[in-house]
Amino acid sequence: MGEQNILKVNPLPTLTWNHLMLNFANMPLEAASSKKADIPSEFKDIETGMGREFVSFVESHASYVRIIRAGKGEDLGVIKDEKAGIASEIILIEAGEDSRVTFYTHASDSVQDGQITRLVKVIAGPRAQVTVIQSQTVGNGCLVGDDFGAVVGDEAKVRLIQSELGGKAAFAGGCAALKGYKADFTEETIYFGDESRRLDFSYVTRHTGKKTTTSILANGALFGNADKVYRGSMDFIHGCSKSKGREAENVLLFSPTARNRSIPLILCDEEDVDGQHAASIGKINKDLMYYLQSRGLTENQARQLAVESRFNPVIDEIPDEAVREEIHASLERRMNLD
Amino acid sequence: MSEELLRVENLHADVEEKEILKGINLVVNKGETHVLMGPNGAGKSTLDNCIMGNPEYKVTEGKIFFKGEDITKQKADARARKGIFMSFQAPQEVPGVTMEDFLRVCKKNLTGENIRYFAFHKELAATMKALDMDDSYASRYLNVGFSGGEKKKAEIVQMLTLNPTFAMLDETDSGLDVDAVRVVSEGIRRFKTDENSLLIITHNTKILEDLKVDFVHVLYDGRIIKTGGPELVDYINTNGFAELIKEGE
Repeated sequence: MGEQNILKVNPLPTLTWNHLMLNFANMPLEAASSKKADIPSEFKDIETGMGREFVSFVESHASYVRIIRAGKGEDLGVIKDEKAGIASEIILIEAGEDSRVTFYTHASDSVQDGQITRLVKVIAGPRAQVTVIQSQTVGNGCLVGDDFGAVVGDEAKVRLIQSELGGKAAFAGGCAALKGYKADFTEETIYFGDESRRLDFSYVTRHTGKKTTTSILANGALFGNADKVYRGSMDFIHGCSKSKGREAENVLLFSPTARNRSIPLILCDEEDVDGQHAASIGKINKDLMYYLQSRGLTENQARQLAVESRFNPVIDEIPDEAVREEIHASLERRMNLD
Repeated sequence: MSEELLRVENLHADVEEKEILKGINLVVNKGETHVLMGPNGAGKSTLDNCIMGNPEYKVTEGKIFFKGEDITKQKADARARKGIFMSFQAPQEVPGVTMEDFLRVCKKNLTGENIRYFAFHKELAATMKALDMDDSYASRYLNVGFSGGEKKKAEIVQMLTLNPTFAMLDETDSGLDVDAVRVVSEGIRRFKTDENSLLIITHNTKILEDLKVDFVHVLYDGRIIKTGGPELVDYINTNGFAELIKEGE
């Protein structure tokens, strides 16, 4: 057993009342080796969603560092994380102009306990298209940290998908620095909380380039005594005129003892921008439940279908059928189908 | 002797504590097609929903029997598994679940049998083709972005695929153009056999033209005020409901 560290992760870009306990999350991580990973200088200062303490921890403990470089105009296709499920890893992606790359990592429920910390940093050059998918269905004894940071260049498109469906606690975050003209960032999260799972998220977009766009969307379902905090922050910095940002969160609550907290935040130092956020928190629409049940689905099956219907557009993006099936099977088990 | 499928006895029902059905009696035998007509607000959709088991409609008195079993207190899914189907006036959108996946899950659930993927896919494509519906809709999320007409056709596709013993069509023809009404009518005709029964709510008698109608019921203010044969459809087309309502009062 290593020494336990309590890290401050998922910090809000601007602090709110301390008593709300939402300015950051405390993440307990066990220290193992202290071999410092060798990170190329161009990736060092990229801001991530989970913040400096988490990045510093992973850089000190990563047993695997992979650098993916896509040259000008190169299409690397889909790259699978061969080491998915190891305790700590860092993936660094540099996408040259007009290049394309998709990277995905999935930690399955074969990982039952311990901790997994994953950090992905991206530099997307002009018109590059980068997609990163981090998903996990680990067992209820495992602690997960999924972090992401990107610098997005002129007309580049970066997309992040995080699917957090397992673990005793899952912390996840993402940050995009939209520096280029018309730089675009899309982030989609799905999460599933049951038993006493703790879920904590923080997404930040920093708009500096003109006409930059972001879309941040989360869909989740909370059962049992799950406790979730979601922070979504868009920062429109002076000079990012004509930039647009949309963030939305949809939560289905299935238990009166589940705790749900959401903090949408729009920071604005530029007049000519358009930022919007929306949230819906509730139960499954009664008319939808009746419609599904009228086709012979039991209440549990209808509920599962309604949850999956929210998750599927994201799950369908995972470029591996076996992983998609595993995720569906995991959800089915967790929702205690009859 | 005809085999009784559905029996509704003295059914009273409330919606949001307002009594809508005030003593409905109705028997539908195997192989029969019944048509339910009446002015807006008479209680036609309420009757369908009570038979299907919508929890928003509260049965305060009376009973519903299906195949001889009292189903009054059963949930909608149990009734569906016994062979009852309802085509909705406003079908729900189910983003994230394709029409084909949805129907495969429902079919498997209703029959208890494993559904062979390719055979099911082929059968569904053929059903959709017969309803003049592009089979690409099968791989789209159920009812999401479908036009009003496509949603209604999708309900008929569901009926043909799930093959219930007793189907209720709640204004399936409303909002359809002439050609679409013809196509939906053809779909209903394909469904109908001597082994199943239909209860059709409609204001548009075009949909009935190619169907053999056995009984027509006129519902007004929560009661069936007149029951007759198919000739009643022609009467209502010519004279409306006013005289029948006056007679019933």
